[in-house]
Amino acid sequence: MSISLRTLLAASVAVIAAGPAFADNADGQISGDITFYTHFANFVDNGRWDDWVAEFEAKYPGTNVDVVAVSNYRKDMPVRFASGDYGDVLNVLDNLPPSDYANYYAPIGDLALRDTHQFVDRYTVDGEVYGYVYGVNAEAVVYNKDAFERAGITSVPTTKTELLAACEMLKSAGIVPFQINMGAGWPMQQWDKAALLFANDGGYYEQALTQADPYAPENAYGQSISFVEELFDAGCTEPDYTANNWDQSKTLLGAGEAGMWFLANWSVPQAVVAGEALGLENVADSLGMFPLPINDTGTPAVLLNPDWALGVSANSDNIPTAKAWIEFLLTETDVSNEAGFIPGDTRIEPTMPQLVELLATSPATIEAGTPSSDFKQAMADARLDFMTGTYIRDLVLAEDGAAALADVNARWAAATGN
Amino acid sequence: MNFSSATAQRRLVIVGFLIVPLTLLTVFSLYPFFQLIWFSLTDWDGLSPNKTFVGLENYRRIFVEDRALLLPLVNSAYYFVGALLQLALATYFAVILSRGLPASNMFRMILFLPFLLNSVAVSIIFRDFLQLDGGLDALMTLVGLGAYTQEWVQNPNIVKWSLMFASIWRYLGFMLLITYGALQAVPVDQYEAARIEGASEWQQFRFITFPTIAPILGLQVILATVGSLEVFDVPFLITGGANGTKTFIMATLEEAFEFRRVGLAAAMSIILLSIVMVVIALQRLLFQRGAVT
Repeated sequence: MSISLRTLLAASVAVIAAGPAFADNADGQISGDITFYTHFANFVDNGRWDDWVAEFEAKYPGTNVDVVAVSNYRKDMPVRFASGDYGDVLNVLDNLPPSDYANYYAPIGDLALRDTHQFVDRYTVDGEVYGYVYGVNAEAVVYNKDAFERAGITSVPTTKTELLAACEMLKSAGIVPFQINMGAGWPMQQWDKAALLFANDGGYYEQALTQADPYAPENAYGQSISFVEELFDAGCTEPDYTANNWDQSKTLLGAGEAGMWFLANWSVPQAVVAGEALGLENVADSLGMFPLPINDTGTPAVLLNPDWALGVSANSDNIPTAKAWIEFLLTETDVSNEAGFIPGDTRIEPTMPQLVELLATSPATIEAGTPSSDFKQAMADARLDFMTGTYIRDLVLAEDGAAALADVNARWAAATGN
Repeated sequence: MNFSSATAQRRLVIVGFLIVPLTLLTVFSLYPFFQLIWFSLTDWDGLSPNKTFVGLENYRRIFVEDRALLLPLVNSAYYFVGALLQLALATYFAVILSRGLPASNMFRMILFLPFLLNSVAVSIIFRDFLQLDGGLDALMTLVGLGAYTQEWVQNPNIVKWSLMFASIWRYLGFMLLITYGALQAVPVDQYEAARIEGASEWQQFRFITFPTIAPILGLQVILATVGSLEVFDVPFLITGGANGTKTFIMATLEEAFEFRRVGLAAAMSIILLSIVMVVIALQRLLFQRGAVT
């Protein structure tokens, strides 16, 4: 009795282990199932994923795309990575050092869109391409024109003094002037990006690696933190800064109960959807963008930062279909434009009116450089969560700001050996 | 094997019934525990397939280089004070409710109910309750105390007390139940004798009740210490660690998943476990009769 049980057990284990091998797609055919982990939950809500999946499945019969929305991508996906099963198509995690891309993503450099896409070098390691960006973001201030009108602001602020004055006027009109969404955490990453604006140099991150105190008040990173701290201390930001009010802040901006936020063009469609969910009409017409005035020179710049890139998992069973899905999404659908990006595919024109308005004045643009593996590793060693925002929140909330900055500088110096 | 003897059959039945729970225990408790000790001796980053053995490097790092990692343990002191307060309240309620007053069953149930609720749901509701113009502020304005509303969560001095209140609200019922159970063991005739002699309520408590339930109170002090060292859900959901409310477990999780240093985080958890075991050992030494009866 026991012998036959043992054989049965061994046989079933063998079948289970061999199972995935049967489903492997090694012959290059575009068919079968793929799982797509996306952070665009808003397209799940308005059904666009269903439309695009239907188009793809009509083009390549026999395929089946399973779209799974993940809300806190940078925190939730690494857990899936550790299990070895993280779908077929997913975003390339940017808190991974580029030298690790080859371990987790399959090379997809043989797709035709390599020649027509922007920011391909950002995801190229040792000649292999691991990701193609959805699109490019213009990091600037999104503002609600109706809110500005109600507060009596006649022209868009182009200097820091004008920005603070505008905040005061919005406050007196009972409108939240400048939302930084500290409670949600991740929007504070904007001040990691703003450091490039203050340095006026897209490659500032590499320079920070050689400095011992980039967070000193006179250096770019320190200036970025001081800027948001100034806004916070002047009362320009939302009163409740501990709870995660991200969804509510979208609605406030769309409805005109909040004045501005410093995010990028991708946030405009989200605010529009949130405003329209309240039953308001023509929300898109009341939103505009202007460059963040970091100083009083009057000529603020716009930061061009690539958004998430799509990649194929190295453990995927169906790489040909996964690659076809990426190519289809980025070249044959208008997912980039609907998300509000400047499309990564250079052949597709940006259609968002707010972007057109922003770029019409031909502001200076700074292209964000790729943070190197060394920089990301130094950030992790210094325990500063780059592009996640928690350390910036702690710096802004610190009772003794100078001591907190000095502590961060000390950690940075220890991590980089400066 | 001879299946016909009664002892063999009894043995088979015992083994048969124990195999399933022991397997589950080994797979889900013991194996992860030993794996955690193994992780703490490596420098694994949580993602890559290779884990290099580094010996006691992680522990050395925590105690010598990055002592700041142990700072969040200080926050546990607030929760410990709160837990002692909670114990005093629980004992008070238990003594009153064991008198057999009318409706004491209902009051016992009301006090125990918060413990039955899901801790995550309770924390989320408290978050909205303590927000600016949230439930608590609205209640105070309704009652006429609107002028005394504070920034319950935003003010760094008040936030720790707010979190402690949320914690007390939740766990009071549990302590009450244990103390109440212990009170049933106090012999009633001693109370009668004391009452005849003319002892006051406080004297009765101090000389009869307290010595009898002292071992149980000692046990509850251990539970309070362990609980305050390991507190996580209340601060994580209400403030996310802002305003200096980050606790040790939150720091451990952050180390593991944001900075991708699972080895170091595993070492931190083993250190926490050691501290808890030291506390328990101390309590057993100091309160010899503190064994769970």
